Amino acid sequence: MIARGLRPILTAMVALFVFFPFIVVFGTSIKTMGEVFQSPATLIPHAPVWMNYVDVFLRIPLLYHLKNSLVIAVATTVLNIVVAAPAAYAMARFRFVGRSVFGLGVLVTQMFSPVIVLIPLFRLMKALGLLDTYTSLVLVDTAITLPFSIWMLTGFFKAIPRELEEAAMIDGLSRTGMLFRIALPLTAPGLVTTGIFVFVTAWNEFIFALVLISNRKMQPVTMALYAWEKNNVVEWNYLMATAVVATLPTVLLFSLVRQRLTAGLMSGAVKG
Amino acid sequence: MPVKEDRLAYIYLAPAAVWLILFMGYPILDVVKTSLYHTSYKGERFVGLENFVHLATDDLLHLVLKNTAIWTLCGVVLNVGFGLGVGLLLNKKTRVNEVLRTGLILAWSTPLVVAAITWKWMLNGEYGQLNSLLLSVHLIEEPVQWLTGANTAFAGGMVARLWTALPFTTFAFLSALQTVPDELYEASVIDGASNWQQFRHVTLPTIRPVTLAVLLISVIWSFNSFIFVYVITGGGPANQTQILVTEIFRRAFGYFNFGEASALTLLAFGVLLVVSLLQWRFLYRREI
Amino acid sequence: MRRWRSVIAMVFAACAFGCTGESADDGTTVLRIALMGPELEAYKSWKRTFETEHPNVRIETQFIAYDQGPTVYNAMIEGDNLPDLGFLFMGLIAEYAERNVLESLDVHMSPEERDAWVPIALSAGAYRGTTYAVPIVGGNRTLYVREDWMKEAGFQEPPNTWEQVRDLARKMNQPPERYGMCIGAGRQKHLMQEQISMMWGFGADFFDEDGRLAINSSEAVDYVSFLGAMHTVDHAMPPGILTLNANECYAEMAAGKVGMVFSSVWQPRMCEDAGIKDCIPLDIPGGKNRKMLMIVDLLSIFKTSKHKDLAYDFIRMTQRPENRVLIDAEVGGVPVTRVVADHPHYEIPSIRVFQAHRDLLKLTPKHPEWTRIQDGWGEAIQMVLSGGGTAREALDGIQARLLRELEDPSLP
Repeated sequence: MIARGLRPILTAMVALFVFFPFIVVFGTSIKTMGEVFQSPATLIPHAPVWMNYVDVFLRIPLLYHLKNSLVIAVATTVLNIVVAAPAAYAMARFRFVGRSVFGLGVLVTQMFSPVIVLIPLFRLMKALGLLDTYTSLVLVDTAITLPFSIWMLTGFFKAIPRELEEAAMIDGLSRTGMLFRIALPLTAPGLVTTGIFVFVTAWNEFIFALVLISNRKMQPVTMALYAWEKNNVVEWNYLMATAVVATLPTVLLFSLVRQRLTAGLMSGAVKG
Repeated sequence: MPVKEDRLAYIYLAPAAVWLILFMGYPILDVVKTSLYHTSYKGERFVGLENFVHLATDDLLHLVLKNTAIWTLCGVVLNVGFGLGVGLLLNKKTRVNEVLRTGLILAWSTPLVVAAITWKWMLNGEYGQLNSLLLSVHLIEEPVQWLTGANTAFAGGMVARLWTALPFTTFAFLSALQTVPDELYEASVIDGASNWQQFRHVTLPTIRPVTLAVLLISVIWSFNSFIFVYVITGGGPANQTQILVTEIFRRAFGYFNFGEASALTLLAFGVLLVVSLLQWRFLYRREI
Repeated sequence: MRRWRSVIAMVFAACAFGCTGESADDGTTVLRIALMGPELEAYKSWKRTFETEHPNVRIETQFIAYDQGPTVYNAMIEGDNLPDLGFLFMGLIAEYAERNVLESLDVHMSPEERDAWVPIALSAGAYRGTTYAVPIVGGNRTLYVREDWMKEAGFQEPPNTWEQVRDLARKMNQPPERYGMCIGAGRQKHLMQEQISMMWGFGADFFDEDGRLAINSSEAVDYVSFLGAMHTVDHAMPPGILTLNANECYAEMAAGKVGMVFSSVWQPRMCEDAGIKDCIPLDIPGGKNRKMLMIVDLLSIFKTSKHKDLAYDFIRMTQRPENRVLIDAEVGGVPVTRVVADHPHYEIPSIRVFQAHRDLLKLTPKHPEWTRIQDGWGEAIQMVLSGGGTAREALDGIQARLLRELEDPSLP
């Protein structure tokens, strides 16, 4: 469809656009501060300083930050699936009064920007005494990702062939039994995909963390990055090393389920 | 279906519904209430619609709205346009395309704040890699100060955002492109259609539903995009690149003027509600 | 079913693990101190000293980035979890006093202790007659210049007026290797702080004699036009000036890229560490008003503290000369107590210049909404520097906006 000659050039340009920032991050993370402030900038330093990666753990409580992010992301993911799966199953399989209202509600809440709910949620958390706790972030992150996971899981549940369920019903299985014994196991890949999305979203959460957690030891790793940037003198090499460490878990997760991911993305996208 | 089924459905739905009402529904009500108060270091005091009246005459807000419109429009055009383009490019299953797709997924899984800070550094006038790249291929003769001018800084934020938003639109279009039946292409070739005509009359109509969905989602996500403006331009210089969501943040958490920020939030919510309803009308009318 | 139970258990465990805050105390009192900026050796020393003198007390410090200070404190105020002691900028005193979160220190301070402070330094922590905070570290801002470049530019004597300063900047300017002057235009707070003495020199100030907001006075317009022209006409500032903050400007001078910066006591040391021996402080040039900015960072006790007397003991400890010199020497602080330790830091040229000009010291105004005013002024200057308007337009716009937005646009 695209002219033969043009294709490789365009592909090269896309490749440059996509991969250049990664090279910048990695290259900067192993520079000395002196080399960071070179004009014009170099991509990869002549004498890489791998020690930066060690230093970064010593200079800031990076292990704490990683732990915080992990706890929050795992709790959010689990909570999210536990709450979203039954709701999605009901939406996919049951017909009941209020079904379209709930569907509309899920749709509308998916459109909310964090900034819109930020102020009232801050005050709510303050009133509940939950500022500076993991709980506040877990509750909020779950709420933010709930519409999306309900949306995705509904699609996955709908894809289960009805005959399986009808056969089970004939065999005397209750609705609840069907959910747990048939639907959930069959949509395990979908659950995993959705779980990964939720995990990554919670791991990457920044705005709510910025506002709800002021105690540095409790902050997730995204805040650690921001803290480097907001210092008066920005140590870009350490910042980039922290960025690499902060991104590794999500990158690893993604590569583990890459196939399922692209399939899941596409099916979700087409179903709209 | 028996009544018992309804009850079971409600039980399954209950946690999710409660969650959404508590953490999404209640905040909106709270925003409405707070927008009717004037907050300052002296405390809160009820002022009715005064906040809205003030905002109507606020010069800075007019600039913010204009910036928001530009940001949203450009964001949609860039993300959807390039998404389609890159989708077309990567449609064939070659080794190179596989690598590129992996790269896109990596870009998507990068925390937004990492992407924003990285691009901010790349755009640095003196020490940034963008300048050194452009200088080395002689596209520019002198380093450009991307971040000191409002327009270039804004554009820089858009490009940075494109880097993280492109994977989603690309994959959406990729999947849509794969649903176009080969027979249609073959038939059009027999009819003597050129590449461009194929694109216009075969490809585009078939992927129309996905295009529509992607367009509408892109509008929402562009409008709501906070972090790139916040980190890369900081809304500056001199508040020249503030968009609605960053301005809300600034008034709320910079100056603790929750009253005004809530009024602005309602404005943003109004816009988003209109777009959501549009999406409901266009896409969901038939399905549920 | 079993799987679900273990999953739910894991969720609660994760939450419980994370959600429990401090461990139960075992009879020791915990004194919580929030500090802004880097973790200084001085703070560690102070902690050690205090804990040695008070065996049942443990000090817990929490470090906040300067920029996030107000946000974090506000979150703590809203969340009712303020520490016992807090590092505050001078500009926050008025606001927090009005919001009733600061403890009055007058009841704790004895007359001798009050006398031991340099009056102007102590007054930084006072608002409407009550002392709410005491100095933790003080600094001044004055022009520092590369003496060698200055002589090259034909100035055998340092510049005497602001016009001469501009002339010197122009003459030292050799783009792109070196620029005449650097100011922290990227951060509104730095912008205000660094060259306010120039603003005063032009006879401008934030409030007029009646205490009304006067950001767009004709003197202020003259000053901002002058400053803007140094960039847009003379091109005597680095092109990236709108992205640089003050610290980066200090570093630019140490890197041999600019000839003049508004800085303080640390500048000569920074230059020397980089191999440049000629960074010297200038006297404040003459003008309508000759004043030197004093910046005082303060330590306050929050009203919600349950250990106020103990907290004041901590403050007392920091007042001792041997403790003061620890922080002054580490960050380049100026003397804030009348009696200083016998230490080489207090003999360096910058400190001697400071001491010689104590009569010129002036603080920024005390207004509960100072952050807004300072940011607004910085915004006007940024607008002029970025070519987005004339000084008159920018300042008129900010004045109008502030008059509309401030609770009370006059000095209390």
